[in-house]
Amino acid sequence: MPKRVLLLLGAVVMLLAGCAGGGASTGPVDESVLRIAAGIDNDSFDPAQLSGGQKDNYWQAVYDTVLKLDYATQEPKPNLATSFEYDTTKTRLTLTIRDDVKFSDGSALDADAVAKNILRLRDGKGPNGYMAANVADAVATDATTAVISFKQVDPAFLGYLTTTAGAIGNPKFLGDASLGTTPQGSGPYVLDKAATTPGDTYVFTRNPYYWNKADFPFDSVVIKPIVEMSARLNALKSGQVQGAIIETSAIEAARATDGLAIKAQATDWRGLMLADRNGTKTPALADVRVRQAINYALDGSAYLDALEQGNGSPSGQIFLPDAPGYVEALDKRYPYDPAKARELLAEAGYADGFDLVLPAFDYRSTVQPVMVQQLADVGIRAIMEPVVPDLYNTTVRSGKFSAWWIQLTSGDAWRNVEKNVPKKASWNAFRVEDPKALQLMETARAAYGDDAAYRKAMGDVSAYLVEQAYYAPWYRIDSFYVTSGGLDFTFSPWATAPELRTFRPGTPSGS
Amino acid sequence: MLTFVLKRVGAGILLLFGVSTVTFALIYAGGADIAAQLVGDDGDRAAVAAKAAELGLDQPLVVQYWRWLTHAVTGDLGESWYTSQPVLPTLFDRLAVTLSIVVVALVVVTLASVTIGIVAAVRRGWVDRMLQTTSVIGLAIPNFWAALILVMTFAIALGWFPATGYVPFGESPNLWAASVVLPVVALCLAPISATAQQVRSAVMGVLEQDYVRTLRARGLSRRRVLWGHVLRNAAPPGLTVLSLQFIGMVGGAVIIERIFAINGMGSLAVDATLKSDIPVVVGVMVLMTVVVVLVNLVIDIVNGLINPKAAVSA
Repeated sequence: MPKRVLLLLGAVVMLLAGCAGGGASTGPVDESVLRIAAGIDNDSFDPAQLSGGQKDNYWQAVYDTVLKLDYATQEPKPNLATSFEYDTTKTRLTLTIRDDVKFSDGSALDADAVAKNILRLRDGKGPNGYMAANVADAVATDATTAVISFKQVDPAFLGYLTTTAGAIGNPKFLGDASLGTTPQGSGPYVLDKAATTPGDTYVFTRNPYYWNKADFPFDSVVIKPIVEMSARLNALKSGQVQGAIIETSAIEAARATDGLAIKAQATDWRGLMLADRNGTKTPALADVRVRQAINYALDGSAYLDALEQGNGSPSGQIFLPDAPGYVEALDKRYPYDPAKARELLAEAGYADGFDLVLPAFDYRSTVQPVMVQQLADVGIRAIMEPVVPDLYNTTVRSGKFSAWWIQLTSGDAWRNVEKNVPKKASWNAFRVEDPKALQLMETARAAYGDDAAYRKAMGDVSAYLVEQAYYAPWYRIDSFYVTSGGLDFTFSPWATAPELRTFRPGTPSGS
Repeated sequence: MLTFVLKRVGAGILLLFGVSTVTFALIYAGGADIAAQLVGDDGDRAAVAAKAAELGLDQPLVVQYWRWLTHAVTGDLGESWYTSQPVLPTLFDRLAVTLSIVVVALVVVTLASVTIGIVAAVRRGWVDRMLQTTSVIGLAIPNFWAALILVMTFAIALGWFPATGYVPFGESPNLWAASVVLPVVALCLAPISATAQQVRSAVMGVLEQDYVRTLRARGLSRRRVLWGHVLRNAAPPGLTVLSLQFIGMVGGAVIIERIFAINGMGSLAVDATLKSDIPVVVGVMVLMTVVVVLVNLVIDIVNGLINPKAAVSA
């Protein structure tokens, strides 16, 4: 009897294994289909509610952007708009919109559609509303001309038009509640709702009206949200997907796997945000010498090696190399020097140290005890308080903590400053007013349009922020994108995931 | 029996109300933070306040609960705050995925554990010791570890089964079967071990009863005594353990679904909880409570049918 049972079980396993051939195939790749995994599920297809980062690829399939980014120069270049020009005050932007673009329902995309989307983004409550916060008005003067006026010069706006703010939805559906689940765009693909299972698989097929088919070689795109890191890597290894973001923790496993190609680029910085610069909750932090001491006390390079296996670069500032504002020397402004830290604390009157309450962080939390010890070594008694991991950012931005660990995208330089420095900036949790920083920002704003002058002015902003120790950056972290099955792509500057338009069948280059 | 069932249903409804109330109170308490979360890291305070008002998070908790409850009793559990998908259809879609794995696992657990338990109880000696040892090993293996080993071996190295994903039965029965094999095996190991031990003990206990000796003395074959009398009397504790295992496997599916990238109830619960998608979290809790109540009800009814004393005493 047991033998018969075993034989029966064996037969069932073999039968199922035979059935499974297609599902786990590592055989020939269908070059007409792009299969990639995202580390996170899509939220909404409403153009005013789109999210960036790992969610970029979902909306990039169905929406085209007003401008696109030139990777070499990091400057915007034409896409839906054939030209874009500011007036001399830089507060009036004229966009010339292509006259041959249609939405997926066949209706024409015109300048009026662009203007309506910009205003809707500004007036909505979406996560990207800040991108249009400086927009005073947007109007179409004729079918191909949109004019956007601004309350003040916004050096980041053209960059925004290459991302979510530039995604143009069909005006006929902009008030429709179904827009969140049924995208209405002019992008290269349309969502195949019949083949899509939200949360599991998103299938996109060609938009028959798309004007720039040559930029998108695949006839269909399949995006699978796979949250679990090991599952994402397994899907890559087994050939179920051809591309996925892989975190540092799994990168050695990916490197050890034949047939996987890896590309990396710096995206985010990690370290401490020293927000309570008025000393509202922690009086010691009002003294710049104390904030500088924290910078000297922590060994960011060692954290990079230990936590990220060296996959990144030590950093002392929030900007990426090549971005306006990046000053190489600033990366070495605060070397690990506990003696110097103690000296500065003593000068500031804190020779006996002080208590610093920090939120316990969930991600890369193994560094916590080391950080606490290194702060203790110079006399700062760090007290880690638990917070709900997924409410971490909102909790720290509420002003509950004087300082906190943070990972922030380095993205657009102006945006980086704008979200930190002004009194109402989203990351300025204690509403600190810093006239000097604002003055430097205004100098940079005025210089916008003259690349050399703008870079110089942003460099001055960066130097000031570093000298004032707004932060204690540890390092810039690399983002990794791994491909298999003959898929190539190009990393776009700052982005954690490649833009959909860059994927090509073929052997990965530059990995 | 009808009174028995009605009592159970009534208790289930009360439990459902209690669970939904407690869940709602616990997670809605942090509503202000959730609005900020929805607006995003770059949203200003006015946008956060507007979002809170839009979702009703600025209302007193009792008002929010009453609004939710009055909709819920009509079958409207609201929409996901993130995806705008209606909650109830999403829950049913995800539950179907999880149940298709857990039910198969339950069948496997039942067949394997009953077989092992009976063989161990009847044969005893080295067979019993060997099966007991194997059961302990099975209990000691964490299902996530087993899942990873299974994927590495049978999906990546051998390529027999898909490493991730789930194919609905209606789409392709063959691919569905292939997609659930590894998750089911990973999910089954510990429950088989635990249930087999319970079946073994129950069968042994009944085998030692006087009436069993009497039946044997009257000339009934060993097989007839075992299948006709012993198993009938040993079934209630086994069924109870199976119901607990079923509920446990639904919970254990959270990890298994993560490892196999299967979007069932477990994944939905984890994702919704992590991003504070409260309508979905409350919906998950309510539906899982319904499942637990139903499973217990079915087990109670089956127990009552097998052993009428159970129904009377309830």
